Amino acid sequence: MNRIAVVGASGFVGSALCERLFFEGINFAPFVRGTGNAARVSRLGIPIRRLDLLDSKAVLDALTGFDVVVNCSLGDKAAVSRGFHNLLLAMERLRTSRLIHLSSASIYGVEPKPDCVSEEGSPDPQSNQYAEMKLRQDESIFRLSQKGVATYILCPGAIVGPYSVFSIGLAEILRSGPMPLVDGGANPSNLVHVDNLVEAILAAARSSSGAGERYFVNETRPVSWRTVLEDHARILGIQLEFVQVTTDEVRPFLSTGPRRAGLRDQGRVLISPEFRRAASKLAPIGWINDLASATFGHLPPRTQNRIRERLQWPISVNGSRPALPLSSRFVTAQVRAYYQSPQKLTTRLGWTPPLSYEAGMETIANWFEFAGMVDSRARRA
Amino acid sequence: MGLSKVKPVRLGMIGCGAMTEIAHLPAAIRSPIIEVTALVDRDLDRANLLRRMFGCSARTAVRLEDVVETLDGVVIVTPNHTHRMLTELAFEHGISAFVQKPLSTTYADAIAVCELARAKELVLTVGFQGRHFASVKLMKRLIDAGFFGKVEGFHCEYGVRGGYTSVSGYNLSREQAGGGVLVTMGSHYLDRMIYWFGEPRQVRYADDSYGGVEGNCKGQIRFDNGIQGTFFFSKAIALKNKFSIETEHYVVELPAMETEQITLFPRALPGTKMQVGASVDGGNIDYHQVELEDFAHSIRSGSSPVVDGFEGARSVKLSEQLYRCRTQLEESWAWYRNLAMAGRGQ
Repeated sequence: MNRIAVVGASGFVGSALCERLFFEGINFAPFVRGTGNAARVSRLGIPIRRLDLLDSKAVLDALTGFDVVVNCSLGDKAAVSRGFHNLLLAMERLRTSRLIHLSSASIYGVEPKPDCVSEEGSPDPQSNQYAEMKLRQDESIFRLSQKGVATYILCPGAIVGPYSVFSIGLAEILRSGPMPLVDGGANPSNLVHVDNLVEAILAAARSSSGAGERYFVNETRPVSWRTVLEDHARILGIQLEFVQVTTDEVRPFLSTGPRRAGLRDQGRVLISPEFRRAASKLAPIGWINDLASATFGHLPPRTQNRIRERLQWPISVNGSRPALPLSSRFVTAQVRAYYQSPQKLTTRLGWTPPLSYEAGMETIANWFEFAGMVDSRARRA
Repeated sequence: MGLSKVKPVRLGMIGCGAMTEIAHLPAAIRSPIIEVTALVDRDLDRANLLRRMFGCSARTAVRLEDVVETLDGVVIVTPNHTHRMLTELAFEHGISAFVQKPLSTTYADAIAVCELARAKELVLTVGFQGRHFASVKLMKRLIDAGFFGKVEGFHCEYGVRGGYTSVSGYNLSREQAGGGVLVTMGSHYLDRMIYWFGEPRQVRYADDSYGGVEGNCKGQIRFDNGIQGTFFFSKAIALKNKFSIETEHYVVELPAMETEQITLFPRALPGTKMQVGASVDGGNIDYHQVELEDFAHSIRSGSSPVVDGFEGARSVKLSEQLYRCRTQLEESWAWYRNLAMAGRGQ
């Protein structure tokens, strides 16, 4: 395999990829923005290169001489727009032969349409900002592929495995109390083990065909949420208690992820005591605040109530029994009704996942034990 | 006359990286008994930036030699491998030194600078902030007084995902940092173990390094007095971040960053939790300021600082002991590592 640049090497997927490349003896270079999160890569004893994607010249210099670039970078708004643009520009100028980019299954929305079962379906981020950003990046990559760079877009769902924030978060929510189970937990989880995703990256790096396409990365068979939750509870040694909920009950919470703030959100911010206290320190805004407050006070009570209801609903109250976290990503994700098969990845790029679902769970169990998240004595028992 | 009535102690910051910016410089500026008279960094722009940002009147320089006449002491916050050289340079000019932990990358270097400080009658102190915490000092007093009964064992774990990015990037290099997470984060807790339990006798240790700086390490230490315990430090996993000590009368817990209180779970009263504190005005103390004022006070009065060089050297010695018996940390989930090794005939 030719020389690989891993951009965003200190992230979760980037680190897992670097470990795999290192142990396979493949020639690669890790690029990181900051060193703070680079522990998994810095242990390997290979030079780590600092790269600020916002510096177009630095990107051009850094990527010179590489045949394959794997983009695992994330970051703030500037990094994912201007930095990403610099990365593509450098690839175009350097005529780098191959770009492998990590997109996301979220581009099909939190409640995808039926055509999402195929990569050829129409993406619809449904106002989710992260998904919109990923889709814009995908579109730029398709344009780059028309300029002669072999591009591969990989779309995993949530990524699980050792060191996964999703796996750790799932463990925490399972420990915290009864777990909402949507529609009996029958929907497919669309979770992918990080080692299988890394294998997909390697398949794209090796493949002599299939460029210019988008690929789902998933388990080779649907695994239901019920199975996933029960298996996690088992390896954590937790007595799992489900609370049955329906998609209709969860639907109001589907848009609570990162998304563009609507009028109601802006209204909520404007009437929040925190905003009004801070803004009132600026004389003109303080004056407007006083005026708005006085005007609101003169409205008929019924109108006041309507406005408050419109802006403040729904209000969640923490009672003695913790409220069901229906807005949690671990609940809203259960609404996705369709399995996104990795068949195309297998047939076009020759991907064979190294870990079955069960073997993947075993790695998670081992890692939970290592990280002190599960009592090893209890697990052995 | 109170210390604040006399002329402030003149300190220079050697190294203007992230730690100086977020911790030592603001603490020194805040102190009424310290005057920051110099900011030294090989990157003069960086030194000038800090001077402007904090609005201080310190001189800036790329070399310590250029500002020695303005200094009573230096605060050395540079990559670990430069600590000995910079400390010796300060001593050559009759200037005392505060060295951010670890004192040096080797025990031999640490002892060499300690001996030099003694010969020149200069103050050498090591930046183990935790030694100044009221909670840590209280724990020492309670252990020594036998309040807990027999100490049966302990477990210490500290881990965070990520962390600050050092300006120099020294923490990525074993040569410059002297090690990985064991040294950069773990040495704080090794120091506390030594402070509380005494001289280490036997150690076991494993980490996940493959030639670079370890991100995870686990170990076991048995002290001279028979107390034995385990530790886990990580730069990749958020851990529970606390000391748990099993004693005859209590299970004792001290969160890593808890500066004021110790939590006790009495064995005689299951389900009961007690908190004991040492300080009456706890909670708002800047312990970076406390350790710098301890240094300044030692320069002024000639008294010994809370953590003198020899005391600070003990954790360097322990780190070396641990690294000497290093084994590879088991990562049973990393199936690809085993396959690759089998493929390479290992």
